[in-house]
Amino acid sequence: MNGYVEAGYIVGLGTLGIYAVSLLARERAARRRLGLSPVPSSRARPDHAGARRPRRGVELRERAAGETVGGRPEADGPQEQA
Amino acid sequence: MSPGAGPGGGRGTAVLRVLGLLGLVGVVATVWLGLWVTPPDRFMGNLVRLLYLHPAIAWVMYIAYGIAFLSSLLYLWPRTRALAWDRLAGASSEVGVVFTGLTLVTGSIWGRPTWGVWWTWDPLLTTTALLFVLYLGYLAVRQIPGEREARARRSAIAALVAFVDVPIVYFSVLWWRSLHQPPTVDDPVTGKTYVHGSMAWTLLLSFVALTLVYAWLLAHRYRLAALADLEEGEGLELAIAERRAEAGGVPARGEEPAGADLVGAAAGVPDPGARGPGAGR
Amino acid sequence: MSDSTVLAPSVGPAGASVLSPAGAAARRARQARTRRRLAVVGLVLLAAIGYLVYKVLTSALVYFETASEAVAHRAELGNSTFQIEGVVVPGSIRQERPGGTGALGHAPAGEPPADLRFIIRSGSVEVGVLDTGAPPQLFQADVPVVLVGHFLGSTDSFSASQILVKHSNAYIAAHPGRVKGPTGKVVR
Repeated sequence: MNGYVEAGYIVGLGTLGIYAVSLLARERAARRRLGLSPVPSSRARPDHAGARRPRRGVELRERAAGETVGGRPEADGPQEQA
Repeated sequence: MSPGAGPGGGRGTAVLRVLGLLGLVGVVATVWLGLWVTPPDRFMGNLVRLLYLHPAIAWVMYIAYGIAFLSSLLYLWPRTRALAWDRLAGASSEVGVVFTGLTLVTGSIWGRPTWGVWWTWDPLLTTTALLFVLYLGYLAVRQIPGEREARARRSAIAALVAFVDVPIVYFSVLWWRSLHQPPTVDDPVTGKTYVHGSMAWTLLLSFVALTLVYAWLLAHRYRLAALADLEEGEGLELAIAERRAEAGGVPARGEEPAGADLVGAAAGVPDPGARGPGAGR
Repeated sequence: MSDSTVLAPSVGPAGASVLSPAGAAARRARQARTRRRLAVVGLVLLAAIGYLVYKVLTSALVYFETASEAVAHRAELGNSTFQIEGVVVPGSIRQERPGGTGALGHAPAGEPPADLRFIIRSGSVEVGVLDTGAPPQLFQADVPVVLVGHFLGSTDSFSASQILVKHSNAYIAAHPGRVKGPTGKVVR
């Protein structure tokens, strides 16, 4: 067409494509490091469904979890079913 | 495992895939209409075809920073405070920075043949460059080490500061003399739209397509942020598990929550309830 | 990645042993490195922000003077460089090449661009322009332009080193109804 138009589209859409692929790759790498399956599965959790606004309890639990980073790990140990 | 689970079977992922597909189709259609179907402009000739790229990218830039601003406010507001808002603000800002960079680059590529220069210190261009650097600064602030909540708080404040430039960029073409023209669609002064026919429809499509692309990128960037938070907690959990193992216990790891996070992310609604492992459920 | 990586207990970057003194020390060292790197990045960004704010205040706030304003401020502007804006007066464009015709065109290969003379107008004020740079491809009569340059000597004529073509926000099909789509169908 005239060079500028093509350059604009290639740079613009090409960059978005590279960014998109990089996000997917980073996501996969993070999931692998965490030992999760490469593709996420969303498990419906009863107390999660429809939870669209923060609940006080969650906030408090988040606080608690945050504190453990500060060096009191025993305060909030893993609570998964062993 | 509850029903509906399974590799790739998650609702969030399915919604995201549809979103990505729609965005991709929209972009392909925009390129086809923009490069082949629409007519050349009376004044610009074929250079008008960058109209179907550059304004839509700039539009997404505004949306991205708008969402980062709102989620930062929601984080700072005590009653809505949740790390999900911080993740959303960070995700939207990063996507916004990509789109700001592309606004500058595609604008430069358009400016060279139409104005005659790659760059000029016009108010719109200068304040947009400032916007780019301000949000790079915001992303740098996010990296400063510290306790998770403290990082979130200082990031939210930085996001509010950086956002000051957003309305300045938008109104710069009205407040000051500019080489850049005011918006073509819904001119803020006259309220009119100065593009018609297939050119107008293609312009509209480009806005829709790139908004969908933005939503897809945002959801994926949000997921990445959620995984990073999970990972941060995971290091801790692992250490605890090691200790337990040393003490004779058997550490168990289930396939944990990240996925659940993603339903909200895909719908563009953050799920403030989602958090790292170890949630009592 | 091999399966063993997946099956092995994952070791997050946060460190496998945050609890041990060695792990905590490693974490502190990593954070110190991050802070140093961020300090450098922060300084560069602050310098860039400072420069851009300076540009906003000096260049962007008054990006150009219209031709009539410039003539009104003639005394203060002296021979300083600034941007002047006006509409190219139809019929005023002359290209002066030795032995040339005076019509607007591009210089033959190997030759420097010929001096370009034209008049810009804003309101009722007209300013004669001598341009020494190559005009952009969209330069033509009746378009608004921004010129970079200065007044010549003590005259009200302007010497431009660069022409920037302004564009309105209106887009109009060049030949409505005559453009064919890829299928050969006329697209309106």
